[in-house]
Amino acid sequence: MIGNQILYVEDDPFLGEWVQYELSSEGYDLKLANDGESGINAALSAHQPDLILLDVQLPGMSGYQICKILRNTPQTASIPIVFLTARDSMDDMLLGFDVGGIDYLTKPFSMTELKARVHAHLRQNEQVRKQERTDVAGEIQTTADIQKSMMTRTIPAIDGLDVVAQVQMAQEAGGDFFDFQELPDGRLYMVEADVSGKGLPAALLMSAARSVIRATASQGIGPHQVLTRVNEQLYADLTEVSKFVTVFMGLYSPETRQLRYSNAGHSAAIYRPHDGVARIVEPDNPPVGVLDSYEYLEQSMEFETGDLLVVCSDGYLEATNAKGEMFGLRRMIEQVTALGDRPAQEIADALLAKVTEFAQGIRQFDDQSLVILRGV
Amino acid sequence: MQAAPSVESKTGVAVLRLSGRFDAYEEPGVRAWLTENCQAGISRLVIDLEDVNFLDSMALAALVKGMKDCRLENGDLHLCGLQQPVRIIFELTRMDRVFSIFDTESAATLAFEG
Repeated sequence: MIGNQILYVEDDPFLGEWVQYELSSEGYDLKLANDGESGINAALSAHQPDLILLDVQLPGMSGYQICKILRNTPQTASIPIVFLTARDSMDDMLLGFDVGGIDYLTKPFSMTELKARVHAHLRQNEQVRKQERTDVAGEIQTTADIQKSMMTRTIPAIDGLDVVAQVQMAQEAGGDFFDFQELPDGRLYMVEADVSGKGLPAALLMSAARSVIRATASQGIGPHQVLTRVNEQLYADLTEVSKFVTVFMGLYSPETRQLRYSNAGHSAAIYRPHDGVARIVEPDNPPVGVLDSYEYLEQSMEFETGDLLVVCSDGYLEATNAKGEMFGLRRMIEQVTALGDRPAQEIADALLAKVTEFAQGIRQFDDQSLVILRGV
Repeated sequence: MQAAPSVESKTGVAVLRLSGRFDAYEEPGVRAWLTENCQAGISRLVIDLEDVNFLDSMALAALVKGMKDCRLENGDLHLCGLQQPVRIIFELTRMDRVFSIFDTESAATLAFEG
């Protein structure tokens, strides 16, 4: 209870200061206001009170009117209000409860009783808040579990390709995702994507984006056609909430050992052919949700044995250390070059270890996701 | 955010100059500036990024929203003064093909008159 803020609206300065002295000595932070207007302003301030003590007979607005206003204002509606008044009739008391007070003490009151009641109301309030926090935490955890189950399904085994994917959310739930979908003819879709923003709003859109992409991809059309249609379907919704989705979408064919891909603003994708140097796979397209009626473009790349593609979200590149330096694209390319000959899982583990080591235990603020394809 | 917004009365173009990191912490201020102008009927906007050394996806999302709002009102959001690290971010997200980007603030402002 120590440090709880109490607002006392009272026009009698002697009574105000006495209550302030007594409650301050109990560790409460008590602020005084001498009329309705200054009381309401104090209740709306950045340092909102945890409890309001309210006199009834005040200059201008009465305590009952103030109470009604505070109850009808969303920012102050949940602050408990206790009336302290000389009006001791049953009607007055009932009116006090009727306008939304939770308790009613009549003057003269005993200071011991006031302290006991203030203490009890604040404890009750704290318990309600704790329960609310627990409820919200539970819902976030459920969202996180649903997301996890979407991304822990076994990646379909595919001839000629060693595939790994992983994700770490900055909060319990987030906007990064990867997905795989095998077509009846043996081809494999891969998706690595990042909804702008993080936390629950991003998680909600991630779920929508994933569903639309899956449903569209199930038609077996090219990655650029999938993204063109996904953009058509999501553009309005994404515009409404000022978000976009960066997507790297590939369609691998075991027969041709080719990956057709369309990159919608997803950074970074790095390709290292077995006999060449690592290069950035620059996107040909802006993210989904940025341009209305846009025709996405696609390209293709070979997957001979040893050819490597690493697609990661900006959470890897923007991992920041205590000095404020970012991991960056240059380090990422160096690592891909150095690790290129290892199995996909080892590369994924090593990249995560490198980025984590770089950040030196600093908490990261963005989701980090990664898909690796390696020709075998 | 070192915002120095000024409405050029002759051309009806509002300019915002930013500096330092343009990220989740700066984004609400920029978003408010964009919204205020659009609501006031000023839909020809310039954001000068000359002193910005980094921007993240939240910042890009705010710029995209501003651009869409302006274009709905037959205006546009022009960007200018992109330094190398910021230019790379625009290129790696292909946002360089989405926005009209100019070297200088005067070029970005003058482009509205053409």
